[in-house]
Amino acid sequence: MPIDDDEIVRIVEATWVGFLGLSLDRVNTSRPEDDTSVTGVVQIAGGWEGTVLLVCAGGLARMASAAMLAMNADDLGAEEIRDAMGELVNMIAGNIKARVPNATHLSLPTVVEGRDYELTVPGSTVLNRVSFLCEGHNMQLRVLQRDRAA
Amino acid sequence: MRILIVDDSKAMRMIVARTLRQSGFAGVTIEEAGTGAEALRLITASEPDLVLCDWNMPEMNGLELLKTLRSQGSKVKFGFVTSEASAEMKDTALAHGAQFLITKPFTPQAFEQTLKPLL
Repeated sequence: MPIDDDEIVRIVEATWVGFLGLSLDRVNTSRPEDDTSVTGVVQIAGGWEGTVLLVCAGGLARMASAAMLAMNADDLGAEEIRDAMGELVNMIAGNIKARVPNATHLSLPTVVEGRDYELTVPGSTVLNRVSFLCEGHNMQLRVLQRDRAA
Repeated sequence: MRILIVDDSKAMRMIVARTLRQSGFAGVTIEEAGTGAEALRLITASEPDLVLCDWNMPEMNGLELLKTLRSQGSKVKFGFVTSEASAEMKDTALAHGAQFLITKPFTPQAFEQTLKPLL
């Protein structure tokens, strides 16, 4: 496994607690949340290929974006939230990439937003699925490895 | 003193500017570019005292911008602010004439320690 769950927790905490100043607790499972969610996606390529997904409850995405931009959450537009979420997943993926041997390229971030959707990466296997609770909202960091034969 | 921030993310440009102010550079003139090409135009027209540049950007990435500047003879002080901070990337950046590489997520202290000796 290129990276273990504990290392992912350290990377996410550095971003979430150190950079945004938000509290964060690792939890075993995410409880269902009847809300929109925002998912930031970055692909890693090179000798190791995979995908990093940061899945945030919609309320948390707004809260984290507000903390990042030092703005009132109610004043944020959709584009600002997408931009901030893209940067957050980019930071996390960049730090994961730096710890994975032979990973050489990072894609630009993609951000998906909606309700009741499942985002899949064909030909990939989930290596890590680490859940967090932040300010009462769910968040999950997933690392997928692209199958060599895919 | 003029510092040019180059990043395709408006959010990150805002954060870098805020961190500069928090790290003792409140009085500097901050300029922004959202693409490598825009940065190249600004730098070619009038060199700032420092360029703080993202690495991973569409069309012209940060390393391509740096290579272009150095090939044109520019000696502008140039550093990367990037989430990709492997030893290989740092070596590559320095080999092409960058002065430093700051890792995201960063702190005002990291900015101060890195930039104060240069400016």
